[in-house]
Amino acid sequence: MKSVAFFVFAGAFCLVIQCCVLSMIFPMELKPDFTLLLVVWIGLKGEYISGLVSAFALGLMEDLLSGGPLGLFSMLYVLAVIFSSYFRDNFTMESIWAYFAITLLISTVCFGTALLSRWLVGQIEFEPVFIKIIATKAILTCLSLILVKPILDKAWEGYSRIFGAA
Amino acid sequence: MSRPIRDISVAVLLLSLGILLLFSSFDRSKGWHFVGVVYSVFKPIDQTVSLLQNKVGEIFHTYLWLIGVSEENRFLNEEVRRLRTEIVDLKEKEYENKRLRKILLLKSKLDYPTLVAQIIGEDASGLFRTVLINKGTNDGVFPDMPVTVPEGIVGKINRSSGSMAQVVMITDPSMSVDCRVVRTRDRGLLTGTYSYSCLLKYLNKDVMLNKGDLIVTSGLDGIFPGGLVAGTVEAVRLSEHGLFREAVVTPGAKFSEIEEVVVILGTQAGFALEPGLEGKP
Repeated sequence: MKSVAFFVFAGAFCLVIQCCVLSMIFPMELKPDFTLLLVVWIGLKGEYISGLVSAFALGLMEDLLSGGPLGLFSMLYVLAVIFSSYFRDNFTMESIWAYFAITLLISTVCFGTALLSRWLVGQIEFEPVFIKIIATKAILTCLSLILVKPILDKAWEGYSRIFGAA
Repeated sequence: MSRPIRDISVAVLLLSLGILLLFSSFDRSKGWHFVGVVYSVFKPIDQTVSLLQNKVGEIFHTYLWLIGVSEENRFLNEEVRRLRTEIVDLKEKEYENKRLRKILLLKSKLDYPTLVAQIIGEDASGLFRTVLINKGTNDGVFPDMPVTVPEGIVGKINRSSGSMAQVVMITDPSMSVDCRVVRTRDRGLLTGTYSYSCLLKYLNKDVMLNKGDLIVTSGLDGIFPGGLVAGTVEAVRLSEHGLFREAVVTPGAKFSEIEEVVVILGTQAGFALEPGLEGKP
């Protein structure tokens, strides 16, 4: 429960940054998804049940703060936790490059699915620029890992020391 | 010669010489050698003293009197910084004033009750073109209400909660607005795309559009009232299958610059408007 509180609080902070700060730096479609990074980080940390609950809650918040249908990001983030936990259990995740690879893969799948779902329900028509958007956004999200991961590690370390969540 | 007599004699002699000089009338233009001698003696002394005086004055001005200047400099630097901040504040206020003036003008032009709202955030995921505004159901803002700015339409309300609402912009691919070309009166469907800003689709194949043609809302989609500026034609082409003509449209509203929007409290479909809400700040 303590870890869920931390994840949700960190996620809410990420969402505020995404809504209000990142738009000043990146074009709307290309801004990195810090919340997704958090979700992948949770999954790779091995916090499975609390990770799933937090991912669902964060996805729901992202759904409400973005124009998508309710449930889209909740589902995608839950899947992201499942996938990242799977990778953690079956592969060596010591290297930062492994982190990069998993994040790149999951973010590409996530953004692709979000746009694909819009296309499948007939909300939008397919445009070749989708591929560029998905790839650039996934790469930028992945690169943000350099900034976000150390902050998350430090924050989690401090939080665990105070509240004994780890 | 006794001393008093000598003193008196010298004094009388000198006085007489002075009177003689005073009353003598020699030609001054021809010069007087004595004057030349005196001048030539005094000139270098005068010059040197004057030079020294200047140098000493300079030293005083440049070094000794600068003791308080560093303090003054710091004070002036602070003053400059303060004034610069003030200038930026004033410029910001000037822009705000201009924006609000335009919005007030638009409010007075529209025949519908309206509400001014501030944009407080963008789409969290970035994959949908939406913005968040600081007014919600408590202020009478409900889904499907049109949102506009003086330069052109912005979009419509997508979701609304107590004190916040989400606006889906006309540049989002899921958004469609029934529009009309002002010059030719032809109708088309304005939709957002990821590749371009907006595309005016399903225009008659024979329609002749020019770059810069003004596009306005037709009022036939049940959401936007007619006559609101949507944008201008940028380029015209045939649709993919060649059945229709379509135009790339530059929206009138500059989405990256918008800070305040006007929500039209009502839809053409007949949204039940609660009385008194339009007056709310």
